[in-house]
Amino acid sequence: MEERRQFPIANAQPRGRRPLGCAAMLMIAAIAARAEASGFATARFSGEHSTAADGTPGAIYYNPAALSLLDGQHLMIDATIALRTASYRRAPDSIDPSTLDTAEQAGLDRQQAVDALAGESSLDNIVVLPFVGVVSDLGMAGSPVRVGAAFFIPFGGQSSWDEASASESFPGAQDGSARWYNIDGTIRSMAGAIGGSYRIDSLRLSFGVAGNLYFSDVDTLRARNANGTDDLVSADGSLLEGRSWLDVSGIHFGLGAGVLWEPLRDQLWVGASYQSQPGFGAMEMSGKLSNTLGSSQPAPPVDVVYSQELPDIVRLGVRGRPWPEVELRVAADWTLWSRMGQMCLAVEGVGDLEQACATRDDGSLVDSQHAADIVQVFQRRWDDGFGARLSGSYFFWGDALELYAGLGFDSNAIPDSTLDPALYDMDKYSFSLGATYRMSEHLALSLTLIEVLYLERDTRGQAGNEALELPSRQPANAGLYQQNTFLIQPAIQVSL
Amino acid sequence: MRGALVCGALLGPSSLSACVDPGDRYDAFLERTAEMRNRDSGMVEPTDRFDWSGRYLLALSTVLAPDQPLLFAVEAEVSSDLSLIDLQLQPLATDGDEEPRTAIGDSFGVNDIPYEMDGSFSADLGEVTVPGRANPITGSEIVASVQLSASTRAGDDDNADLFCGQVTGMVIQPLSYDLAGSTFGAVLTDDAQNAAPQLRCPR
Repeated sequence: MEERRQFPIANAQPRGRRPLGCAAMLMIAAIAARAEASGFATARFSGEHSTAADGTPGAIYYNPAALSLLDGQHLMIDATIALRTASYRRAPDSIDPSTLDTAEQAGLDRQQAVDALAGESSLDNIVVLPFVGVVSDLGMAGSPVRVGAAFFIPFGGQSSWDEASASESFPGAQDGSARWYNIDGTIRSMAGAIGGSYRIDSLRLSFGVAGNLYFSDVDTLRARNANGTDDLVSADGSLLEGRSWLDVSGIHFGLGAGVLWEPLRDQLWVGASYQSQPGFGAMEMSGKLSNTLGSSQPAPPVDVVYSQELPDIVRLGVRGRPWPEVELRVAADWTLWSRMGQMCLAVEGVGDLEQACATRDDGSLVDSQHAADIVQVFQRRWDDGFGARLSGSYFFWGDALELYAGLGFDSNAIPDSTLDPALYDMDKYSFSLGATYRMSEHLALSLTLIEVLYLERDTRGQAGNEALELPSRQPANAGLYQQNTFLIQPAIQVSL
Repeated sequence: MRGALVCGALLGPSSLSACVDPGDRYDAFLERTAEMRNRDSGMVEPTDRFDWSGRYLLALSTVLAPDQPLLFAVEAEVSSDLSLIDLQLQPLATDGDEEPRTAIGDSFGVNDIPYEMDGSFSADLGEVTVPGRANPITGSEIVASVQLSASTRAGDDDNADLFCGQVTGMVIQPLSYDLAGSTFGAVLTDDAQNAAPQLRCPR
């Protein structure tokens, strides 16, 4: 009977295998694999074993074919604790030219108006992203079939910008200079997945498929006024700055599929997978919009619909055991963030939302007859993201202890013109260290530490959303963007 | 300044947003700006009734964007016994339009408005539609229920006849907004193309 396989040390093969040849190792090094996520993709569960060639319960998302690497019953609980700091510095020349003149006409201090609109906003948040997954061979160790289920958060996050000092004349400034894009909020897709794999042992080839049910929500608060500028007051001193609170949600389905080939038994694994877009395209969500604009009295929430597209993802992974004590992994992903052309918010009952939301390059609606239906279009115009990661493990004490380290790069998906404080991205490098200690045949504990270094982005002086026509126009988003994230990733793994 | 936020995501999906509370900060903003939502509309001193029939340029200054008024050409007819008023309003294209202040869309009006002894009147215009080209704020069509509370002032050598006051009602489309606090002013003119809009009653 085949030796029982566990994870992640279960990825380790039995001792005494011959070392992988240099040519094979070069092949591994030449192929990319999983990386740190671009855009607001957040899947990092399974630590350095999150490639398309690793057999962990996380494979249900990274490559369901790799479920075939696990025998027995497995439970993994993993938490990615993200310690995130970020800042956004808005320059005075980003302020709409008419805004300061109007404040002066109203008899207010021009410099106070500048202070209310420019300067630095910062945040210092801790976010926890959980993963819970199970994999089973249904009690039939010799069976080619494996099944699994998991819950995780593959997209999104949440942020709460710090409050700032504000003058009595401009009370909105208390929410900081990033407030025209985000004050407090969540953009997130959680997923419940079930999947399975089938292994053709004679070919050392496995196939897998998983269905994901995405529970998505957008719950954000931002400053807004009626004409899409950053006007604070009217010429008679009336308040213009308002607030817009959007709370929508929806449920969508997606599919993942993959293949895993083991060219050298217990020594080399090559995996590839495809994860569909949640909803296979535009995701429509419904909910409420609470708008209080200008000096109007607060209005009751109205029913709205909202649409966005998330990316599909292609992953490649190669994992090799050149020596019994050593494992090397190379991974890459191609995340099609170019699907994220725009986000659109419309009143309920708009009919064909995609048609109504269609915009020209200047941000205006293709069909102006829908002008009364569309509340706001958020131009994104993102680019595809690419990532690559190299990592390795060393095993001690008969696989009881695994030490690992990794290095990754992930590209920025957001162009300068639409980068804003609500959704950040930069080119980034990540460095990880971690260990897994198998306390017994049934229990293993892991801890991974990951530092993600984001390269600063300076878009000051560049045209952005303020140059667009309504309903896409928003206050200038140019600024100096900085971010750093440190991830602490504890995990517990139970095998039966 | 807020401290670091810890979100108890492991406790379940519902708690993921427990420490991010947009509603809390939305309410906090409304609270600290509450006193700024009582906009003074201004009203002229009561006067005797008089016949102010004629053509007016009416500017409706909303609480959403007071400096960007909606413009209307108004035909006003005061009855010979000064007891009733007829008003007919025609939306005009915005000043930023290719054909500024030209008639856009259908006119609407109300007849037999009681004219009070102190020179004031209240008119319920009902549900009115303003085409997008007449909306200088967002350019989208507006549907709203509108009521006017006005006072009238006879002109003199320096000033034309005027009626002005408060606007109440609700914007129904594209989104619901309370118009309370909005103002309007209408000046007698034969040259609506060039007349200066009066956004409210003179202080």
